[in-house]
Amino acid sequence: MTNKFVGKRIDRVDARDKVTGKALYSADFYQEDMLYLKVLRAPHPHARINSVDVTNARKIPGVVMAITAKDIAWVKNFGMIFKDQEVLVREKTRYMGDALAIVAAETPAIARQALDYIEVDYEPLQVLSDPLQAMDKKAPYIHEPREENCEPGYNPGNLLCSHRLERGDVEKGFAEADKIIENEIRTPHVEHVALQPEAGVAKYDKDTGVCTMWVATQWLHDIQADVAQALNLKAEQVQIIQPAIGGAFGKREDVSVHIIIGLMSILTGRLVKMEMTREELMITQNKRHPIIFRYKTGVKKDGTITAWEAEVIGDTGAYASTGSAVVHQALYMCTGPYNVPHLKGVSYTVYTNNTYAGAMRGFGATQAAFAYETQMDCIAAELGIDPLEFRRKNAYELGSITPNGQILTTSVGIKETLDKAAEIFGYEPGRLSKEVNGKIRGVGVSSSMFGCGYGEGFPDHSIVDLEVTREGKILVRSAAADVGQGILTVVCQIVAEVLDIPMDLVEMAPGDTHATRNAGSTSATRQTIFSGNAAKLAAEELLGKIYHRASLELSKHHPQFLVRDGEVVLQGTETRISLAQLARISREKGDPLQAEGCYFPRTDVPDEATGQGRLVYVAYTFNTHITEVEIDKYTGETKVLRVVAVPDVGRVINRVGVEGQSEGGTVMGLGMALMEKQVIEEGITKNADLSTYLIPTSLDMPEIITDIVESGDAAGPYGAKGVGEPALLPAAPAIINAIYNATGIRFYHTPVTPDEILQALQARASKNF
Amino acid sequence: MLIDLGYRAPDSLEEALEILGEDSSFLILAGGTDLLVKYFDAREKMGNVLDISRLEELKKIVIEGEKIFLGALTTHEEIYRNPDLQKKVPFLCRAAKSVGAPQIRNQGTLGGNMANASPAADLAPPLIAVGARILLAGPDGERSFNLDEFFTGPGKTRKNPNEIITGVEFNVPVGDFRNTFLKVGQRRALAIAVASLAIALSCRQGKVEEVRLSAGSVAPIPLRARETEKILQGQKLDNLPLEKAADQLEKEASPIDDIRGTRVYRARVLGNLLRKGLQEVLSQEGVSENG
Repeated sequence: MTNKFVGKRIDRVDARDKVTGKALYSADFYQEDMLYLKVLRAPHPHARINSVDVTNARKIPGVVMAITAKDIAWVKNFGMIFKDQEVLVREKTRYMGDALAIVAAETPAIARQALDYIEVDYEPLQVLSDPLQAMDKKAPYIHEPREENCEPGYNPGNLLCSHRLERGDVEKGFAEADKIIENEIRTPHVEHVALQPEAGVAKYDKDTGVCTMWVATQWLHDIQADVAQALNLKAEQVQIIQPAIGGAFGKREDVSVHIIIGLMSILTGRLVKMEMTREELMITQNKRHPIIFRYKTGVKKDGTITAWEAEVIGDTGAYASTGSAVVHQALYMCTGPYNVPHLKGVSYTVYTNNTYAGAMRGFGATQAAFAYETQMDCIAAELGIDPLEFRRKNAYELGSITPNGQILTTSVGIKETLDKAAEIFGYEPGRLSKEVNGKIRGVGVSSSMFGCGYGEGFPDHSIVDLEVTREGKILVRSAAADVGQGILTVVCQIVAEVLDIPMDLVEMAPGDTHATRNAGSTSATRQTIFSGNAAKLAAEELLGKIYHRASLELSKHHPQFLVRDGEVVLQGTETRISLAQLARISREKGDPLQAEGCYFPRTDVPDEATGQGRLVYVAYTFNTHITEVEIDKYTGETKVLRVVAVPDVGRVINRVGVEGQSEGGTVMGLGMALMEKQVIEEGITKNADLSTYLIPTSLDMPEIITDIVESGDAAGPYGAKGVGEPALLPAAPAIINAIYNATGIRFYHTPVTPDEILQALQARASKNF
Repeated sequence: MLIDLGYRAPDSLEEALEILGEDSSFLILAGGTDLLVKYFDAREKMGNVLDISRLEELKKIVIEGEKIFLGALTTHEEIYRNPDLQKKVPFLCRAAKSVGAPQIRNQGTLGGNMANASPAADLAPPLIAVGARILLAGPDGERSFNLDEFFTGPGKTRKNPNEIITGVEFNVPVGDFRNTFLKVGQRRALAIAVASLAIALSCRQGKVEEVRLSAGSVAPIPLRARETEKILQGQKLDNLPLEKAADQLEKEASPIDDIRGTRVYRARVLGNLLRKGLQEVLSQEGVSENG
C-alpha cells in the first residue's frame, strides 16, 4: 500500500500562522493593567551576599513590589535532576545569572530603572572558571560538599558526579595495537540563539488557587512539576499553556521565567509579564557544556581499532541542570558508530562559576561527535588510510555493539550513508588539497550516531488523545512542543494517513497541562518516535471505533466498507456516512468517537560500574557529512562551499521536515566550527550580545545537498527514527577535517578562527622555508 | 526619578543649529544604527535627542565632473547603489556594501558613520584614501577638516558638540585611478571589520604617481598609512616593493586585542590585505570594477 502523507513533502501545519504573524508568542501577550518584572542579577560570579536592600527601589512611583530572598523563605529550590538552584539566592552567588531581587512595576522602564536603586553588599570569593581547577580537592566549594557522592581525591563541593564505561580489556586491546594515538580535544560554551528571548505571562486565580501561565517550554508537564514544587503548589495548581515557540534547541528545557512569573502573580495578585533581554538570557540561561575529551585509541596497521579509552570532563557551570546526563551521554557516545572491542571510560561533571550548562541540540553527543570524528581523522592520517575508507572499515553493522553494550539488531544504515554521501559528492579517495586563485580547497568526512529517546531506563513516554468533532474533524490533543522542528505536522500526517482523510481535517489543540497529556520533552530526538507512535496507536484505535460504530449503523461487516476522505463508504454503493454524522450518533449512544494512544517502551538502566545494558536506547540515528571548504591564504578565512549530508532516519515521515532539519543542523554546525564561542573569563561573559557572539548569516550558507538513507525497521512509526539532533552532529567535525585536508593543519578545538589558521599557515611556511 | 526626556526633530539645518546653539547637550540622532543599539533598553540614559533625519539639505549627492559632495544623511545603500559613484569610486561603494545588512545600510548614514568615529567605520578608509574633507556647520559658522585629521580617538573627533556634520567632499583623481577596499570580518554579513584596507593609486606612465592607504580597525582611529605610502610612491607598477610595503604597513598599525580579533592577527592580516589588494589594483589596468 502506498502512503498518501507519510514520506511525502508536506507543508507544515503551523507555517501559515507563523509567516503571516498570526501566531502568538509569549512576548506578544499584552493587557493594559499588567505588571512588568525585572530581575537584579549577581554583581559578582562568586560572592558571599551580606545584604540586598530594596528599600529605595520600593519608594519609586510605579514600583508595586520589590522582593529579595528574605521575602520568600517558603519558596523551594528548583532544578531538573538536582534541586540545586535558588529562585532568589540567599547566601551567595555562584554565577553572574543568579537572581538577587525581583521588581514588579507598572511599566518595563520603571522596573528596569528600579534595579539601579537596589543596594547589594557582598564579599567576593575566589572564582572558579576552569573545571580542572574546580575538581581539585584544594579548590573552594561552590556547593555544599557531598562526600558520599564524590570520587575519592576530588573536590566534594564541585564534582557533581562521575560515570563509567567498561567492556572487554583495554590493556589487552592496546597490547594488540600497532599504533596508539592519544589526543585531547575541547569544545567551548555555545549559546543556542533561539530567535525568541525567554518571556512569559502569568496570572493567579485566588478562587481556584490555579496559577495560569503562557510561556514556552519543551516539556509542559515537567516544568509544571518543578514550578509547583518550588512554589509549594500541587501540580494541578500550575497550568501552563503553550504559546507559539520561537525556537528552543534545548534552551527551553530549563526553567527560565516560569517560577518568577508564577511567584509574582501570586504575590501581587496581578497579571505579570517578564521578558529577558538577549544579554540577560545569554548570561543567565543554560549553555552547551564545554567538554574536554582525553582519548587513547589503539589501532592495527590495517585500520582495525583494538581499544579505546576515554576521559571526559564536562563543565556544568554553577548549577547541575541536566548536566549529569549531558556529560555522561558524551561518554556513552565516545567512540561514535565504530566497532571497538575493548573500551574503558570515565566522565566527570564539574561545577564552576561559569554560566550553567544544560541541554543543547545533541546533549553531549555533539561534543562527542566532534571529538571522535577528530580522533578518527587523526588515526586515518597516521595510518595513511583514506578517512572515508577508514570509517567504512570500522563502521557499525547489524550485530555491532554500542559503547553501552547494546547489540544492534535493526536499522543500522551507517555504511549506506557513507557510500551514498561519497557517491553524491563525487568523493575521490586519497584526495589532496588544491589551490584555486590563492585559495586552498579541502574535503572533510565525518559520520556520527545518536541514541534516540531518553533511554537508560528513564521513564519516557507520550500520550496522544484523538476525538472526532461535531464537524467531522479529528482533534488531536498532545502536549508535544513544536519548537520549530515540525512534530505537529508529523502527528497530523500520521493521523491523516491512518484514517485516510485530508490533512486539513486534522486539527491540533494547543499544548496545555490541563487539556493535553504528557508527551515528554521535545528533546532527545524523540518526538517523531514517541508522539508519532502514540498518534499512530491512537489513530488505529480510533479507526477501529469508527469501524465498530459504522458496522452497527450499516449492519455490514468491516471488509464491505472503508473510511476515506472523512466518510465511511459502503463499497460499490452510494451509501455514505460522514464522520460528523457518525460522531453525533456515537455521542448520542454515550460512546463518543475518542481514542488514546500511549507509547511507553522499556529501556535498561546501564550498569553503574560498566555502563553496560541490553537495550539502552530505542533507536540509533546515523548521519554522514562530506564537506568542501576553501581557505583564503591571505586572511585565514574559511568558506564552506558544499556539504553533502546523508542521514539514516529509518523511514521518512515528512521529507521537507528531514531536509529542513539537515540544513538547519548543518548551518548550526558551521557556526560551531568557525564562529561560536561564548567567551566566559573568570565567570564573566565577554560577548553577551549578537554583535559579538556571531552565528552564521544567510550569506555564510554553503550549498547543502541532503539525501536520505531509509534503513527502515526502527522503533518509530512506519520504521522511522528521529533526526533533529543527529542532523547537527557531523557538521562541525566535517568542516574541521576539511580544514585539515586543505592545509595539513589539525585543530583539536572549536571554533577555529581565521587568526589561528593564518598563524598556523605562516608558522608552517616559515618552517618549510 | 523618571527624567522628562527632550526630543526635537527640526525641519531645517538652521533650526537644528539654533537648538544646538542654546543647548549643546543634545545627542544628534540620524539613522540610529549606532545610538539605538547603544541605548537599547536604556532610553533614559540617552538624555536630550536632536533628530536630524528631516534635514533635506543633508540628503544630497552632488556630482559635478570630478567634484563630489555627499550629504551627511546619505545612506550606505544610496552610496552603494549610485551608478556614478560606482564608476568613479568603486571602492567607496564596495565599502558601503560591506556594512551590516540591507536594513542597516538603508538606515545608517555617512555622517553617522563619521560622527560615531569607530576605528572600524567602513566608509572612513576609502574616503580618507580619496582625500575627502569633512564639512561641519555650527552656530558660529562652517568648518572643515581633512578626514584623516578629523578623528582623534575611538568615538572621538574634532567636531564640537554644537556642530553638525553636513557632508564630505572630494575630487576624484583624473587619469589612471585605481582603487580597492578589502575587509576581513568574522562572517559574510553583519560583520564589523576585524581589519580593512582602502588603496587608492593614481598611476602615470607605468608608475605610482600618488598613493593613499587607509586602514580600519588597526589603530585607535582610521589609519592613514603615510610611511607605507612613501615606499610605494613613484615606484614602477611592474616592480612594486610589495613585501617591503606590507612589512611597513604591519609596523605602522597599532592594533589591539578585542573580542573580534587579536593584535597579532590584525597586523599580520593587514600586511596580507596590502599584498592581495595591490595585486588586485595592478590587474585593474585603469578600468574600474565595482564591488
